[in-house]
Amino acid sequence: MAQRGRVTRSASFRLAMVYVVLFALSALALVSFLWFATVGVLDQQVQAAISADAQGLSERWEEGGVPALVLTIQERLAENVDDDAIYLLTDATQRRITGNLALWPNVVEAPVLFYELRISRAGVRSIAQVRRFDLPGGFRLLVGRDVRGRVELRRLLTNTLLSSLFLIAALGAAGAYVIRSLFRRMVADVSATAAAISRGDLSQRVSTSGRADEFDAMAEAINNMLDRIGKLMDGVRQVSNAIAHDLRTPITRARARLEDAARVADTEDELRAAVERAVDDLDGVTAVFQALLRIAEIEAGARRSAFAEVDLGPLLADLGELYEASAEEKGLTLPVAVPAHLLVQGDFRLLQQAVANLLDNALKFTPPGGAVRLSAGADGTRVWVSVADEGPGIPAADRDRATERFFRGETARNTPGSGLGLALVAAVAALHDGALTLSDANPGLAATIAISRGAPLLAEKMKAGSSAPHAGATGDVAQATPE
Amino acid sequence: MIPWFAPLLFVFALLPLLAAGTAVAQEELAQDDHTEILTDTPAYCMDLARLVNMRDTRPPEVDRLAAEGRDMCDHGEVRGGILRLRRAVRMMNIGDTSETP
Repeated sequence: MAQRGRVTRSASFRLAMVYVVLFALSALALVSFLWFATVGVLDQQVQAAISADAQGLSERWEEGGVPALVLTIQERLAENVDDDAIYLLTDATQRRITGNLALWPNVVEAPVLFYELRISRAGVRSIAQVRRFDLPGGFRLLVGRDVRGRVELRRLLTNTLLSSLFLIAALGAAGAYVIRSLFRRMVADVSATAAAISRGDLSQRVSTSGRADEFDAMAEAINNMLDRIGKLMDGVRQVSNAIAHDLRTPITRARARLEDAARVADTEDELRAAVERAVDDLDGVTAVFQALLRIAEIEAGARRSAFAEVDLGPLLADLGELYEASAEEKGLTLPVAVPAHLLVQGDFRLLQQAVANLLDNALKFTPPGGAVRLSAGADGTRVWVSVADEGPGIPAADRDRATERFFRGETARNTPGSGLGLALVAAVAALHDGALTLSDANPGLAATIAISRGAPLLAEKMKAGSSAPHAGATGDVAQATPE
Repeated sequence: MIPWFAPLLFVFALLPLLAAGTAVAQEELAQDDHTEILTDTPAYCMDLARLVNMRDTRPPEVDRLAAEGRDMCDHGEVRGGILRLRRAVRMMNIGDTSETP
């Protein structure tokens, strides 16, 4: 009983049963259509022939009365090569006048209707279709046709139907078996892959047949999902390792300084200085954690609800002015070429911080005497902001990884920083439906943020704004993410 | 496992529906109250033969068919004989119609 219950609850069993039922119903519908298209049409033809025959006889009645009608019926019977005509003419007393029926059949009562009449022809039983016509003076005329051909056809069709049911059953059973096997094979593959992954083997994938059918599409979707999960897992693992590795150094340094001060400091001032240096080291650690939390917050998309209309023109001009002083200190120039107004839908603080990070990087890596260029513009539905420096740049092979958390290229090994600046910029760009692109500035690196303008109405406002380069204006600038 | 005969059971469950329709047709033929047709008898065969003989001039083909018909009726093949005699009558009447100005 338990085995039977499992079978009927099985999805493959239900699928196979649905197939069998649909197949049988379709086959029955087709056979029924054939039945009525043949037997039904024959019925209509017989009825049309009876009506036409009766019409002719009626005309003869009107022309010559009973004698003419009797003569016509006898002639038609004598010429009835098809051997299917049935006539009977009776008088007011139901006495037979002429025709090939012995007596008026009791079943034929009302005119207009067609009746099926059982007849016997030289001992052979058959079926006739007949109709009654009432004539003036109480005379009654019966006209009909022997439809034994239709009966034979119906018998033939019935036999064929019964025979074909065996074929339908065999085909249905075979089809159900194939459907069930396909379903079970597909589900078994997915199930086996899921089981392997749950055991910790993330390399397992659902196999595809190469036929590019629906099963392959589903398998590819599952495999893409698993690839994505794998990458996320790798990312989590890499970030965990990076945190452990990068934070160990400043914490160890702070501990060593405190320990050293406790051991060798002679005065309160020396002790205080050691503590302050340790606090600086720990502030750096705190800043790294804050940056990580901020990136996570941005990637989660929580800040999108705070989006508002932002004019990048004044924002970039203020940043250019702010960083111009730093550039001059290092002997650099900072030409700014941005439109006076550049409206986007976004988060003011995040956009400001992203550009500040790029400017920090550019100033840090550009040698004295060089230039850092800040430019911006619009291109269709996109707005771009570019910061180009004349530093060592990033090798093409490292550019894809440069936006990963804690990534530090060979050229940045000896430069202070945590490797989180570009990761935050990339997260901000993604939050604004955009991307960060790193390219070769010959010499140096060009970092370009391209983001969506946002609401369409901003494009209309853009037309009213000036596109002249802007330099000036002041405003708050968010503190750059530690590099 | 699905029992291999499960689909067969379903399809065979439909058999009674068709069998019922067939049984009705067979039952109609099996009943006794059948009306006799009078034009399948030797007497009608002779009537048709007389009808042909009443015509003075007949095409040879009409005579041949009529003779065949009478012969078949005499040998008990009534319906076949009547069929030939009817062809003869029709051929005769068509000839009459075509000769009419």
